[in-house]
Amino acid sequence: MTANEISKRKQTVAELQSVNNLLNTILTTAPIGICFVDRDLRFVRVNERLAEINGIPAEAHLGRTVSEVLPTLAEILHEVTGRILATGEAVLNHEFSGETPAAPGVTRFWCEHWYPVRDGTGEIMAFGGIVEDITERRLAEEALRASEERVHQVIDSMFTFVGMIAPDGTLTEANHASLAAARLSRSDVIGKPFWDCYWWNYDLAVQKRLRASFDRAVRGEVVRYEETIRVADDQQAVLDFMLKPVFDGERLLFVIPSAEDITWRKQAEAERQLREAERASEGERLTQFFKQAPSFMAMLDGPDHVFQRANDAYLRLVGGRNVVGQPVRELFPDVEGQGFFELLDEVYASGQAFVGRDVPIAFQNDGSGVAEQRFLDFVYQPVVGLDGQVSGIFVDGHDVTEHRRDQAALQERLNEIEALYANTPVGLALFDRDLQFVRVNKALAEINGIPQSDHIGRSIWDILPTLRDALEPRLLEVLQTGEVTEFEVSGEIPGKPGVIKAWSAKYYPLTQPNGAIVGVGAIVDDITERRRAEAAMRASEARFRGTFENAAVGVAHVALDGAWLSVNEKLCSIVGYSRDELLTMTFQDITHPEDLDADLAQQGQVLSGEVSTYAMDKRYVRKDGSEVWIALTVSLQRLETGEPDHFISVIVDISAQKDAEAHREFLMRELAHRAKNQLAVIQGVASQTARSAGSLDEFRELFSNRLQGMVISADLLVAQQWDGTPLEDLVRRHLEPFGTAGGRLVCQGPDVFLGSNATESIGLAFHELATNCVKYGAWSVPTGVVRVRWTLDSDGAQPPELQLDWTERGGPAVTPPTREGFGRRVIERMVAQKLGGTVNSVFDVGGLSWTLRVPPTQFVALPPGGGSRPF
Amino acid sequence: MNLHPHRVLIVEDEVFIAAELEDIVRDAGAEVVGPAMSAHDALRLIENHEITAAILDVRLGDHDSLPVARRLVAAAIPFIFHTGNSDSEALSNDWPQAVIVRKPSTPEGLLTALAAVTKK
Repeated sequence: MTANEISKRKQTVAELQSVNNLLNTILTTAPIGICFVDRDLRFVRVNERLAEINGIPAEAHLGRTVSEVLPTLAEILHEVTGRILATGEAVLNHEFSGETPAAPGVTRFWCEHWYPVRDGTGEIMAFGGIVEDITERRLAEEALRASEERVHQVIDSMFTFVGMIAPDGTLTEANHASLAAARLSRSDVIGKPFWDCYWWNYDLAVQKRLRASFDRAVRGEVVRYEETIRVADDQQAVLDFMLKPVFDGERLLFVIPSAEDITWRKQAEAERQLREAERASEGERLTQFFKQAPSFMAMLDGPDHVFQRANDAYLRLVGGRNVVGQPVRELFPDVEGQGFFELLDEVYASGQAFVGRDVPIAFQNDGSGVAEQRFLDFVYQPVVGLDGQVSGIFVDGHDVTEHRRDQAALQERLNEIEALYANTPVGLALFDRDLQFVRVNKALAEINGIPQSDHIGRSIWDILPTLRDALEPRLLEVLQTGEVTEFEVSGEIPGKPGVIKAWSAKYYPLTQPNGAIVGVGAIVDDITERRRAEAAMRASEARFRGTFENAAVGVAHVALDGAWLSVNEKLCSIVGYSRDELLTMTFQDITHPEDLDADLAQQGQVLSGEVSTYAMDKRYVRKDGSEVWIALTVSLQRLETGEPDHFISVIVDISAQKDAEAHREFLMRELAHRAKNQLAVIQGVASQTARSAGSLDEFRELFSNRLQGMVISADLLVAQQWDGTPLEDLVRRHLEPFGTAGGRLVCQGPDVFLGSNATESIGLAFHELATNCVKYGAWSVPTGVVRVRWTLDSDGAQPPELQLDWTERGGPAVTPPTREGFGRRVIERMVAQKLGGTVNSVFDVGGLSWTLRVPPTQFVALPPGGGSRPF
Repeated sequence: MNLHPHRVLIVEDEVFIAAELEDIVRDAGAEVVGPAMSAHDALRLIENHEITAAILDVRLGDHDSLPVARRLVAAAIPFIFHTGNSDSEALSNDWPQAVIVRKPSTPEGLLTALAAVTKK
């Protein structure tokens, strides 16, 4: 080692020594605790300060472990040093609290810094600790915090509005009351210019006034005035408002705004003023009140209860008796024995008030001796004088007789309603909002088939499960909308499964006065029978309609003025009008004018009640103008009140009957005429026969033959109802009596049907021809033959004429007759004239040829093979 | 009773009665026109013959002789109704100038009536 080196080392040692000294000085004199512990946490060094903190001498630490010296802190230090070993990092600002051996039971706070002390290799060989006792600081801080908090709490709990405004006008603090009043949060206002805050910014004038006041406060003035601010819900509050500056010497620290809500006080003031104004007349009013109060009042004085005063109501109660100055017993002998005087005595004696309710009292106010029963609510209030003794009794009360009566009436009405509810045949029920039965009456219980009591408290769906689908939407609708719903429903009832019933149901909301719907009311009516009756009615109506429409006679309903109300088909067909046409007309319109008066006269008799129905034959004029005879039967339908409502007319078409009657009359006249005519004819026959007959015998023969011929024609016509006769029949029947057998008559011709006129005329002609033929012609000898032929002459005019030929052969030679007798006149002239035809007679040597041409009006040609009779 | 030289129209559709009337009138000396069996024939005969009187059967089949009567009234030719009708009252009301002879009649009754009307 060189000297230099030695010198250097010395220098180094000196330096180290110096550092060590410094450290020691620091260690010993520093106001903080310092220590070193080895890895086993044994104290290596401890300075005085720390020893002082720990309350143990420094030497007592050395060589001992932390656990031994500071058992309560050992655990924490183990944890801290363990953390340092694990991380190699220092643990700084570790605050903890605990007790020290020096002061057990006293909690102290420390702030500690622990750091690793490494050897030359960097290995941690020890831990250095710096401990600062921060107990006092901490306590001071906590005291401050607590104090601040208390201030805040006090400020916040004040009803008074308080805040703090920075010199520039920024609001830095506002208490709870001020925020809550306007429902503000701190962030709404803190940091904003004071005058721009919610409370003021509803009105520019308020803001301006506030700013001016703030300027004055800033200059050192305490400003106080009443201000109206805005609080929650746009309400306003009147404030006793103050701005107070706080200075630190010359420097303005802040301005404190404070305010008290004097809204109520303001209102109270206004009310007090009003009351005071009123009080002036109170004395008078009290008197009036006493006098006119609806309750009866009286003041009784002394032990004998002498009336001092009594108000109008009292006087009315006691029947207008003059009471003042009189003792009650003398005034009201009629009340004696009812206990009232005894009560007064007792109240007077005891000084205890008496309150009576509904007390009956009997007055004989009208002097009739009949006591009137009334009921009173009243108070006997003792009046105590200045000496503390009872001096009188104040009587105050109400006559509740009417009230009782009202109540009784109300109860009666309630009973009635109850009875109605219980006994009405309509089903009634009340449900709560859960649709549980609250009430149900007997009728509804019967409808449901379940006892009344079994409903209560149960859900409607328990009772009527099968109707849930139908009812639930309706009921919920009532609960939701509060609107009444009415409908018909049918289904099974619980009590009688399988029986289908129909009901009309009405559901209405049960509402409270505030409109809240608290349930549903139900009105249910069993309409099964009604429905059945309606169905039966419809069926009956249909049957009636069927009868009405299908009747074989006309049926109509006719209004009292004659208008057709309803008519059936048959009537339409009788009168030839359509139903629509008829319904716009009256029966007068279609009644034959000659029959109308008679009809109206009889109708008047029905209306007046003289007869209940009438019947008549009359004529309608049909639409086509023709008349139709009808038999009319009319009855009157009356209303239940007896008032005539309409006529029911039954109309039978009797035109056929009328025609038959007319026909019969015609026939009767015709018969008379024909009979006389026939006599005239027979007279003619007789006369004509007599003119030509040579003897009476001859007359008799000719006359009876001619009559016979007429009878033949008549028989033929009768057989055909006088319409006519087939030509061949006519020929054969007329000629048979003349002996035509054995081929002496030859008939030939098509089927021709002669009219009645031609039947008579041609029959007569054949008779006369045959008579002549037997007398002078072909049939006068045994070999003579007559041929009768007829043809339809179709080559001339259309329609064809009938040509009839009578040809005699095989008889004697004929000569034309010299005299024109009856027969000849008939054959040659009259038959042709009568038929409008022509005739030609030829008296040939071979025999008579007679030809008659008949115009088509007198006959009908029948088609070959026959056919129906044409006439 | 002589009716000469009257020309008497006979209107009658019953053949026997027509023949009898013809004989009666002719026997009374008058000339017979007809007998016509229809109104149509009768009106034609009136046109063609200067008749001076007429006997009218009222009913002619389905028709009547009233058109003939009207013509005769218009021509102022006297006539009688020869009818079996019971409603002669209505007839005399309608035809106050006519004389009515009821069927059955006698020749004398007819001729008297004819004489009466022709003499007026």
